[in-house]
Amino acid sequence: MPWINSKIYVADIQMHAKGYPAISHLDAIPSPDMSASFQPQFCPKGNFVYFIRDDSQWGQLFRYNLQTKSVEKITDIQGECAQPNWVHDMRTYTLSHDGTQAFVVANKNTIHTIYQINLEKENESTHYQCTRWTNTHLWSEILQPTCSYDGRHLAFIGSAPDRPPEICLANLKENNAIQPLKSTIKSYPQFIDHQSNPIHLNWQDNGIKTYGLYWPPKSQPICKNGEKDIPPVIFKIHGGPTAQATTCWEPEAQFFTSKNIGVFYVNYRGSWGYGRKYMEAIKGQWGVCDVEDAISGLNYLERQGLASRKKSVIMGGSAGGYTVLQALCHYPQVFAAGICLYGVTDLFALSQQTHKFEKHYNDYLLGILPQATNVYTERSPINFADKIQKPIAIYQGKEDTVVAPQQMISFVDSLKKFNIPHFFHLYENEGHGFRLQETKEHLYRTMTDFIYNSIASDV
Amino acid sequence: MKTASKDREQSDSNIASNKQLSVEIFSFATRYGPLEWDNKSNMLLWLESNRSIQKLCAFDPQSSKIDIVEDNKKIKAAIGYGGGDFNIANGNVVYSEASTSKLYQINLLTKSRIQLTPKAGQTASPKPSPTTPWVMYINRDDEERDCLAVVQADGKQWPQILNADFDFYRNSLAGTQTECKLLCCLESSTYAVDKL
Repeated sequence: MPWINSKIYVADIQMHAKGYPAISHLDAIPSPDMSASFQPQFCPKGNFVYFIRDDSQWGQLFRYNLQTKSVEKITDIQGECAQPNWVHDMRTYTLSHDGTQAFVVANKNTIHTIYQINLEKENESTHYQCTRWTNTHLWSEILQPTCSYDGRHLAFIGSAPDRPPEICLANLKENNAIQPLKSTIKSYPQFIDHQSNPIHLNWQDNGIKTYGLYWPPKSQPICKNGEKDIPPVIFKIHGGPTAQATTCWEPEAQFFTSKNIGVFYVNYRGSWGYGRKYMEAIKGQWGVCDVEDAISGLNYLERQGLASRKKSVIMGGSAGGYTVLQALCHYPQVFAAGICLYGVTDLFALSQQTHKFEKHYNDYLLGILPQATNVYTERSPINFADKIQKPIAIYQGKEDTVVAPQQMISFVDSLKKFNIPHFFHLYENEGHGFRLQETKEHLYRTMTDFIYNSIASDV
Repeated sequence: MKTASKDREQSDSNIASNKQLSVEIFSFATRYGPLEWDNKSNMLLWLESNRSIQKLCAFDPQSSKIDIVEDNKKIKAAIGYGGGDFNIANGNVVYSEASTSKLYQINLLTKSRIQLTPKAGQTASPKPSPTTPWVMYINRDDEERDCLAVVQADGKQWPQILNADFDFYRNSLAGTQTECKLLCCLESSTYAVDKL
């Protein structure tokens, strides 16, 4: 996958005799074995190629001199400057119109910050001057930074738990003053009455440090004796698995916390944003370490008095849905219920049927077939459906090309066969990830009912 | 059972006080991006999507006006998980049209639109060169072979393959100030098992 190992190539282009461009020479930019490169970009003068690469723990800004063919590390920021390259044209930095400045977005503990780097240093022995912007605190997620060609503006998409995504414009000629240019915050009048802000947590279990974001419920339930009771908590497992739950606009978390349900996003081992070593901890361990970390997260919240097993629901989509199933199959007494959205049930089928981009993702996460056949068998939830004891709600899109619907239908057939309490809904016009408004309305209504009913049946 | 009922009671009391968010919170979701500046007009462009509506918008910092460049055709690249929907140079936006994956070019001022590529698999990440009359982009054919391709910005010539040596391409980028030469930068993710 590009975030595990990727290279940047530079091609010289000449006009072909037939009148179209053709590559005359192709060079790879020198890079260490097993390093990931991100967002290659020429500087305006064309003498450097800039890029992010993770030679050490964190992805940092580098540049390649096209004349000397040398690579130079520009930044040493304590934070992650790249993103997992799931889609085309992702961007975490931008160069000024004249190429003298770089603006890099770094991610530290799920909070994004802009750093401004002066690319012209006085002499070879000094570091590049790097200044942290202090006026972006309103936006904890900053995406798509881009400088205008006249040198006046830097635009980005910012969001925060209390701010839906908005296009922002920083005036580089007036102390970088930032103004929202396009916002939808006024579309959320009901939101004024409620907002939850996440708390970034880390905990240790058996010497393993793990991270998560806890969104507290609006208020805790009160017992008849007047004391506060422990609220229900959703343990949300992000997809990917190479991804990260960040401190951003999260309507789902706001929706549930307004109903006095806490939401805990587990950034389990393998997640993005905590350094390369943490991301690589899932190599060969998918379906094991993610489940262990979800459970250790529950144990941690229990110790803090914020959750109870009897009122804890594990929930996730895609790879997160797979973790849900693994947890319910192999630790059937831990969570009170599970919600699985388009999750993987059969790892053999996933390897055979998934699309080109992820064709060999499982080789990294699980092992290479056929040598790893036992691992695939032992970690495919379809083989352990009979072990599930707690209620499970399952949602699947009929047009899913990543996790074929038949995988889930076979799994549901097994649940029926073993009389496991379950709810299953197949959406006609949905794929891998639900987008239609009517789908979301149905999904969140039925999930809310399922959570309350499952907790009720478990107590 | 007691605990759950109690939670529900608490929840219901919030409904009564109108402090609980309804599923409507999901209906207002507006997505922005990608963001791109035009080197000629110095306008900022972005895609804005809300439910079934999508607009390509352009903001002029001088007049502070926002113009809608395109709202008839849906703009979306669809190689893999997508991304790389459009780009712009010299006042001409090049985008991947959702239903056919053909590349189109639309002029910011005149709104005139021309088709650049025929239907031939999927397209993504078009990069119009600011200094030459070429557009570089990523193409995936019907047999899932990816390549880096170029097409002339007037759409009058058949696209040409620049490179097809790699399994994947990312963030291809064309256009430096180096006269008539283009430099391109391509990135391949490891597809081969032995490199994982």
